[in-house]
Parts: sequence; C-alpha cells; structure tokens
Amino acid sequence: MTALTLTLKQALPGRLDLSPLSPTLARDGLGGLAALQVHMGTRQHALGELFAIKGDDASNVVLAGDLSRVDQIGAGLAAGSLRVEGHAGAYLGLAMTGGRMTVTGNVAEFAAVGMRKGSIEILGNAGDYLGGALPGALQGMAGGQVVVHGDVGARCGDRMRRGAILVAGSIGDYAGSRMLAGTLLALQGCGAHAGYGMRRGTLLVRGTIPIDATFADCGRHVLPIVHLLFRSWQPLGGAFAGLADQVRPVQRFMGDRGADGKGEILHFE
Amino acid sequence: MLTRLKGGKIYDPTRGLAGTVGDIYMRDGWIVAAPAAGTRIDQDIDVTGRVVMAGAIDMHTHIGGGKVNIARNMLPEDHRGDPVYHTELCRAGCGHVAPSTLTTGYRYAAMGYTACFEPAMLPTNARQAHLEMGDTPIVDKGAYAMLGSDDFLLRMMRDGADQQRINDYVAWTICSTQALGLKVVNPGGISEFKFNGRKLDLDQENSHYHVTPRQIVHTLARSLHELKVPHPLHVHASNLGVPGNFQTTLDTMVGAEGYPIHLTHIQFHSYGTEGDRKFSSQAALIAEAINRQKNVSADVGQIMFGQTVTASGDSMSQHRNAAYGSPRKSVVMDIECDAGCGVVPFKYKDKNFVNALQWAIGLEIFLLVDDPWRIFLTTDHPNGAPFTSYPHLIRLLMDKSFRRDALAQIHPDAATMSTLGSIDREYTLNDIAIMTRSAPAKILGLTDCGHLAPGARADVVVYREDANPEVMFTAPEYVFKNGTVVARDGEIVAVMWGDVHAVKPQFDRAIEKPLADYFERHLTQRLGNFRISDDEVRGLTNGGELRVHACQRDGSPT
Repeated sequence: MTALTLTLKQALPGRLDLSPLSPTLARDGLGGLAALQVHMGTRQHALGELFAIKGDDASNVVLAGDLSRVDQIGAGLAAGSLRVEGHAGAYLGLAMTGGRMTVTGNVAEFAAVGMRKGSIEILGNAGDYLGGALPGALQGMAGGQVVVHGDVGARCGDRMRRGAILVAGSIGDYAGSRMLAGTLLALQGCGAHAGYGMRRGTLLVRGTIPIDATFADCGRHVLPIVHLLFRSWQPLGGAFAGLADQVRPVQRFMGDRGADGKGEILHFE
Repeated sequence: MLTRLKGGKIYDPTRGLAGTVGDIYMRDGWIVAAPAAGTRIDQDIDVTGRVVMAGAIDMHTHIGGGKVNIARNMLPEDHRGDPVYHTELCRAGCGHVAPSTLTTGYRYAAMGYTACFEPAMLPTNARQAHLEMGDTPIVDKGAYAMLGSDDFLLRMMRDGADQQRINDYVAWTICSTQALGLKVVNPGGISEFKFNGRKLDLDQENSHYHVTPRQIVHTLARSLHELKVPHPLHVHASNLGVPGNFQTTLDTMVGAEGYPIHLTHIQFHSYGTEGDRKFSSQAALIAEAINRQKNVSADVGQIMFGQTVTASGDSMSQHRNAAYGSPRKSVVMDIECDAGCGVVPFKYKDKNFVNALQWAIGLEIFLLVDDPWRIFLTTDHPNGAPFTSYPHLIRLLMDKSFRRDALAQIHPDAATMSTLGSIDREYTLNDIAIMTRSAPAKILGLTDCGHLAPGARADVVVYREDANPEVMFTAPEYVFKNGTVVARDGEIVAVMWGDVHAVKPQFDRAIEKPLADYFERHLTQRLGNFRISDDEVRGLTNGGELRVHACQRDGSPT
C-alpha cells in the first residue's frame, strides 16, 4: 500500500473547507473520494476537481501543494497519520480525537482547537489561538500534544483544559489566557500578559517573560516534576533534546489571582 | 387561479369533518366554495387517499424576542453542530435547538405548520420580537405581550387603581406592541426576585408592592374578559418546576374565579412530592381539574430527551435551574425593570429519574385530559424540546405500543411511579387535527385559520397516510400557504412571507398621559418611540399583511 497523496492542482481562488475529508475517509475509505463535495466560499466542488489523487492507504494521507488557503485540514481526525507538505490554513486538526499530524511548513490561526487526543507536529510557525477555544466554547484543547518548532502567535492555549503545547520558539501575547489546566512550554519567551485569567495549569517559559501584577512570586524551586517532564520531551529532538541535561531551578509565580489563582508560571534559564 | 385538491380525506374538526372524502377549492390565497359546474380548474391535484388538514398552528413557541437571541448567542456549539447550507430558494442558517429565524420558518413550513405564536414578548422588547418574527419566512406570526411583573401595573394595583384603568393599560400595551394576547409569567415573582425573593407563592405578597400572584392573575384575566380579547390570559403559573407545585397550579385555576385562563407548559406545574426522591407526578389531579373547569385550557410543554435550551421570562426559576445547566452556562438578567429573562441550556436524559418522570408527566396530561379542544400540543419550544420533535410526540400519543416501548427505556423508578403504562388511550387523527388546528385557532380568535371552510386562508396540508405517524407528520406531501405550494415531501419549494396577527382592544386614550410621564421619568425610551404603529409592523413583514382580529367573547365567566 502506498500513502494516499492529494496534490493541489492549482492555486485556489478562495478559501477551501476540507473538514469532510478525514471523517469521510474514516467512514467510507477511498470509495467516492474524488466525488466528495467540499465548499469553497458559497460554491461546492468535487475533491477530484481540485486535487490529483494517488495512492491507496486511507490511514496514511499526504497533502501536497500550497495549502495555505485550505482550512480545517484533518478536522475530526480519529486515527492514522496525515502529513502536510508545505503550509496549511486555519483550523488544522480541529476537534481531532486521535492520530498523528505533521506539517512541514507554517499553519494559520486556530490550529488544534478543540483537540482531544493525538499529536500534531509543526515544523514551521503557528498562528494565533493554537490549541485554543472556538469563539464561545467553554474549553479549548482538551488532550493530546502539539509540538511547534517555530514561533506561535497570540492566545496560545486559550481556555485549554488538558494536554501539552510545546513551543521551541516564542509565544505571542496572552499565552495560556483563561487556561483551565494543561501544560504550555515556550523556550524563547512570551509576549505580554502571559497567563491572563488562567485558573489552573502550567506555563513553563525560558527567556523573557513580563509577569503581570496578578501573579505572585513564590520563590525559586527545584521541582522534580519539571525534570521528569524535560526527560519525557527528550525524544522530540531539536531544542527539546537538551533540556534534561542539567538541573534547572524555576522561579514560580502563581496566578492569575484575578481568576482562580491556582495556575503557575515556571520561569527557568 | 382556481386550484382543486381532489378526493382527499378531509379532517376539519371545526366543521365536524373527520376523514370525509371531498374536494377543497382554493382561489387567490383563500379557500372557496365549490364553483359552478363547468368552471375551468387551473390546477387540479389528485389527493385521493391522502389526509387533508388545515395548516397546523403552534400556539406557544419561542421564536422571537430577546431570549431566543440570547440563546443563540450563548450556544455557538448548537450552530456549529447543525449548519444548514443555502439552496436556490432558501438562505443559509443553522441551529438545532435555537435555529436562526430563517431556518425556523423553513422547518416549520416543511412540517406542515403555517402559523406560530411567540408567547412571551416583553413590551419593551416588542420591536426586537417583531423584527425577528418578520424575518421568519412562510409562517404567520403573532405574539402575546407579557405583563404581571412590570412596575407600572404593580404600582397601579398597589394603589388600588380601578379595573377600568387597568383595562386601559392592558389594552394600550396590547395595541402598542401589536400583540395578539397577553401573558403573565410567574405573576409578581419576577419582580419579587429583584427584591431578593427566591419564591413567591400564590397568596404571598410581593415584598415591595404587597400584591399577590392570585390578585394579579385574577385582575388580568378579568381585564382581558372585559376587553373581549379572544385569547384568555396566558398564564405561566408560580413555582415552575418546584416539586409540590401542583397545589399552586390547582389554586391558580380556582383563583381565576371563572374567568377563562390558559395555563401554559402545564407539565412543569404538575409535580408532587411523594416517593423516596420527593418528586412525583400529579398529572391525574391536574387533568381532572382541567376536565372539570371549563374555563381552563392548557398546553403541555412536553419534554423530549436530548439537548435543548430553556428560555424563559421567569428569572426566578431560571436562577434556580442555572446550576443544572448543561453545558454549564446561563444568562439570568433583568430587562429594563419591566420583566426578567433566564436562559439555561439543558440536556434531558431518559436515565435521569427527574427527567424521565417529567417526560411521563407530560404524556399523562395529554392522555388524561378528555377534551382535545382544551389541551394543546407543544413542547414549549425550545424549553421542553425543539419543535422538530413534534412528529415523534404525535406518534407517542397515537401509538400505544410505541409509547409502552419508550416507557420501558426510561429510568425504571420513574416508569414505576408513572401511570402511563396503564393508560390505553390513543389519539386519533381527528384529535390531532383538533389540538394542532381547530382548537388553537378557536382559542386565539383566528376565524380565518385552522379550518378548511370557504373564507379561510388557503393554508392546507396534505399528508400521505402512514402506519407510523412520525413519518406521516415529518414530511407532508404538500404544504400550501395562501394557496401556494411551499413545501413538498419535506422540501421547501417556494418561499413567501406570512402575516402578523394582532388584536386591537378599545381603551381610553387618557391612559397615555400618566404613561408618558412614567416613560419620561423611568424608562429608557419615550412613549412615542415605544409604540409600534401598524405601518411599522407591516414594514417588518416582508410583504405579509397585518391581520387584526375582532375582539369578541361570548358569555360571562363560568
């Protein structure tokens, strides 16, 4: 069996909603895939019109071409692997419940929103609201792991409930805003108002991070759990590999005391 | 254009027809008498063997006004979970429990409903309600203005204003808001909530105005009777959802002292306190009281299992329910000191004892009230369930064995505590036609709807008879609105805009003097801006008409 490869035939004139792809593959396999109707704006198109379809392994999908205008890639993915060769649009991995996704380029806003299980690895950068909540939703990402090797935009982990978001670069403003629980790691600092309104959860940050007045400095600690986490992230390679090489004390700040105040920012060098 | 529906089995309880084979003639949007022999028939539709009824009327469904919009705002997941794409004819929409206005209209019409009435239009929100209803296609609309916890009325009652003056205020409110009737919600209780009360019994005085719910119900019921407004006072009684509230409900019926009243979503008001869980059904007592007191009618407010959202003016009870919300969020708010509003999403579960018993209580009331002319088929959309569950509900009423099977699925203790399993009654097609057509038209005073006699609007539904009523009532073969086929087999085939129904009781204009002063001093808008003129409401109907019904009532209080 060879990976099912969908190659975009030409640049898209508008934004394409690819949300039916993963649930349809899981339900019907390859049968009728070319005829699958997808929306671009107000129009419907058959998938075969837009993509050249090759290969026969429905559990191993590769998307190729400039997919920066393709939204909801891997939405509802439950199992198997999906690889995006290049950039991806918004809502990547929306509400996915399992499986593995890899993106070699950048992804736009709202990636991994409502994610419950599985893993996403992004080799480039990610936009705002990574692992966050859909507008109006009570919870953001509720499980699974997202690894970003580049930088991430604002509001990363907004209302996040469970799981881990690991960023080798920096996170923009409002990292972990309104976070309910879960773990956020940034190795090159955060923007302003990190942990704004967070109730529980952990922000692990190396590099510069302005601490808001609603966070209380709880002193410097050596926490075994931090070391265990670093060890567990060693296999990710890259910037994550060397973290467990030495004991890294953390400066612990608790907050946001404007919310529940049981969250923490652990700053280390 | 003359259209004939040939050879259908006509169910028209208003004229006593129950399955009589005959023809229906429609010309220019109205039903007409059989024309002289030899008249050319432009469109002849053979409906032999089909069931023909008037368009259905939902007399209690929350389709407009602030609450529904709050529910829409609060439930983005409901919208995301049920997107409706646009077609050549229909615009896009979304929402299962709180659908968009457009989707609401399409879905109602596809199910054979041609008129829907919003039961709780706050006077101060009337413009918004009419805007939303105006945006609901195909079906006719109307609304009941809500009084009973508003400062102006309670002040008048506190100060011992005479009935005539209260009548003027009631009539002025109905006319100014283009309403078809009047509703009272938790009389005085919404106001009491603002003074930190969490409960107000029928004979308990409102702590600020010192008037009791009983007085409010009586005063308003009498007022409507004296104004000859056809629809009796629409009463959402005190103590909604409280175990043991059946006594309040029985007392409210008596408290009307013979003036006609309509008790709404009575299922939520029929709870006892027996059993280990201190929650039991008193449906039999309530049904017996309705059977006995001819001045009382009721709609059921049946609950159905699944996700829905409760939207009510009763901020006191919604504040109590907020903790049970699922997903856990809620809005409970005051609206301009005029009334309140509470919106709480709810998931009714068949394995939950209380929910299961609520379900059984609703069905018990349906089946124990003898007279289908005084009990109405509603789920209090969306409070008990979205209106799209009506066909399922009709099947539960019409099919005893289906009902027994459903009963076997629910929480076993609830099933044991309910008498539902021992009730053999099955509704007939004629009963369904009464409770969804003839009776609502009669109780709302709509003389030209809900029946198929010449002179009625040509709102006609043709059903394919089916052993399973749920199939039959989900997707009628033809739905005519004003003589035009708007839906076929559950698909919309033409879009038009329905009318607005209202009444205009007479009153003494002198009431505007103290009102203008009151508006100036206490409210956020002036009296002149508050009033909705006929022209304005016509402007909101997208070409529908404003249909004003005569104010007449027969007889004296029973």
